[in-house]
Amino acid sequence: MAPELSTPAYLACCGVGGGFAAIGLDGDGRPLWHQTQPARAHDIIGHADLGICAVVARKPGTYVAVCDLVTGKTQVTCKAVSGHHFDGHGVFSLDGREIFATQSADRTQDGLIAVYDTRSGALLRTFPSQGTEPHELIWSEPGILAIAHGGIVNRNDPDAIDSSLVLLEAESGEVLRRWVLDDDWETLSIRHLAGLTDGGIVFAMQDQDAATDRRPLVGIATASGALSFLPIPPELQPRLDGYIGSVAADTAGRVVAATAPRGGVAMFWSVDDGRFIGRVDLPDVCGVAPGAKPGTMRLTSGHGRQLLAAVDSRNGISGLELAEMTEAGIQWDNHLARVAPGAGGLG
Amino acid sequence: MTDNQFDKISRRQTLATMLAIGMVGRMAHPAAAADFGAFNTGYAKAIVVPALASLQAAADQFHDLAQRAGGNPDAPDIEALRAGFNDLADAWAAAQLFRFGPLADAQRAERFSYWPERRNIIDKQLSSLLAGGEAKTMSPQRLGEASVAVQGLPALERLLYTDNLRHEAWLSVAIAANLQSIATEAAAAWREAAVNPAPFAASPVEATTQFYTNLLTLLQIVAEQKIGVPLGSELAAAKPKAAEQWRSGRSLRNIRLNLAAAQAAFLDEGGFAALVASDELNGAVAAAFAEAIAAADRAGEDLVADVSDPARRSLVTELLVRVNHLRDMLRQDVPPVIGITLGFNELDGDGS
Repeated sequence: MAPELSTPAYLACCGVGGGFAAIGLDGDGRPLWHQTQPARAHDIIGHADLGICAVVARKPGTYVAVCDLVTGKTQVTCKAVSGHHFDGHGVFSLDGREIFATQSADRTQDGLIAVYDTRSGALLRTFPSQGTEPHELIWSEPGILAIAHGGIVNRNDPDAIDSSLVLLEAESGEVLRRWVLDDDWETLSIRHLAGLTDGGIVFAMQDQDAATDRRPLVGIATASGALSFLPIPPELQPRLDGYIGSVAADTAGRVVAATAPRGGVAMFWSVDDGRFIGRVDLPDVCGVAPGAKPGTMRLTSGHGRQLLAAVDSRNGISGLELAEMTEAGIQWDNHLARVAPGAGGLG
Repeated sequence: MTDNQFDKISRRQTLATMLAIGMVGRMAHPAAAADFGAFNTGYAKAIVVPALASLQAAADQFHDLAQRAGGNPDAPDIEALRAGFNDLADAWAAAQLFRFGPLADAQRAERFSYWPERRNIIDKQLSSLLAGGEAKTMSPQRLGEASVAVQGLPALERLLYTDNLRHEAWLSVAIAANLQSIATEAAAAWREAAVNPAPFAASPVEATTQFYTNLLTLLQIVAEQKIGVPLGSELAAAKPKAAEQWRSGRSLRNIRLNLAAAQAAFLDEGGFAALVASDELNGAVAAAFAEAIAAADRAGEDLVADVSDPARRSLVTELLVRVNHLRDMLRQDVPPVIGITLGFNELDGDGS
């Protein structure tokens, strides 16, 4: 008897038994399917209307696999532009017909956006990402891409940083806005993004020299162009090792969560007043995605755990353990993605 | 969330789903669950505490030397200070492995030896410190609150090995006192923790996992930062002055001492080998350590010269290959056999 097939609510990549896989999960965190990957993957995104998802290989990645959302089976594979590699992230166009993926030149890390046809896997066009070492990209509004440029040419060299956050018009590739950080923060690498409902962009950073100063690690770029930083409690900061792994906003756009795998902690802020709400301790936590209800977040860890965290204005954050995968040797990788009902283009 | 809307998913249910989609059965099983608590106390006593005691002794001795030099500021015995610095740097190279716990608290490790350093930050901070006349009364407490860049070994190395930089005895004394207090605090905390089956962690297995992760982190730093960055992908990309402590010519010596410390933490009495129920695997790890250390010996004493010399670069490349082979084995083969799961996200960033 064929098992009943359903659409995953969440998608994630993982390590398992020394190899790698992509997994579709139901709303309770139970696996619906898993597909072995040829290499360690990074982001995985879904488009509910077209019934597809895409697995993006981890930097320096060679492929993006466009897969069936219900079975996880690969339909077509997109190959990196010659002399370039995937940087681990991509987004579908609103209609799901195209995928926009960040790539860097192998030698210089100069960034480009490569656009592929999701039915054929063919490369349609490329345009410069207007920065060095692009990492995550999101739609800040329809037709406008926000691109985090990590700016790292050599991860082991704390001097080589050219980070920026860039807004591009996706059709023309034209730069609409470019933020760079002050010289005091020249060691910060902007790498991950989450969109807010009001057009604001949350950006998360990694400090290449966390020892010498307590620099901000999460900020918000408002639609009007202003930058602000979210506060991190001073007693918590040293534990983070200057490293944020992923960031998400809840479905209402009122709560932001950022994960610090080296600190083993997820932190939560209120968008309205920028207040630090609280934290959840979870060793090697990295994946974060909005829960179905406003004020909730899903977290995954490299030790196979999944938590549902709920923000309670009176009691702070509560965490509820979901399906534990430790026994199967599942290690959740950096990112967890929610498959939004309907079109999956934004966010 | 007091109602039942988020029922906990039972483990049985999850396993049933995983069995149905063929995910279970890939994991390696250790022969039997080890007594991690007993291992941790043995590791702390036999491996960590002696290394921290040596660090404390070297820091005490250097503090004496610095004070003696401070008593004769116009003609300090630089050679004696250099010898004391080398003893202290040796002890640090053998102790920096033990990052989890007291050396992570209060930024002790970074304060002891901030590295890799951002271009010029130490020189910049050091000049501003030397320019301020009132700083000559600087107490260790005040230095302990200054930038990590000027608190430890890198600043000392510049004071002792930069030709046109006058040795400022007051600053050597302040740094020496700061290092002495860091080493004393860390050693005391470890002695106290050595009787705890889960020191600095929520559970014994978590503490063991952190100790083991420290081993991999040190070897990652050795391979990628201490060897890889100075070597570069080709001669033109070599960055000899990115080598650790190149001013005092200690780059390769530190690498050898780091490898020896990691080797002892694995193979010596009280080390990880006792958790590995496979003589064959322990033998392979021992061979990989021996090959890496032999490659470091062949590379000689001068990393700066090696990476800049077309004829000698292959010796450094060989060292890098041997260290990476060792890392692969320690990362992939050993953890499932001793029954620990390494963090997946904390170790290596989001792509390289």
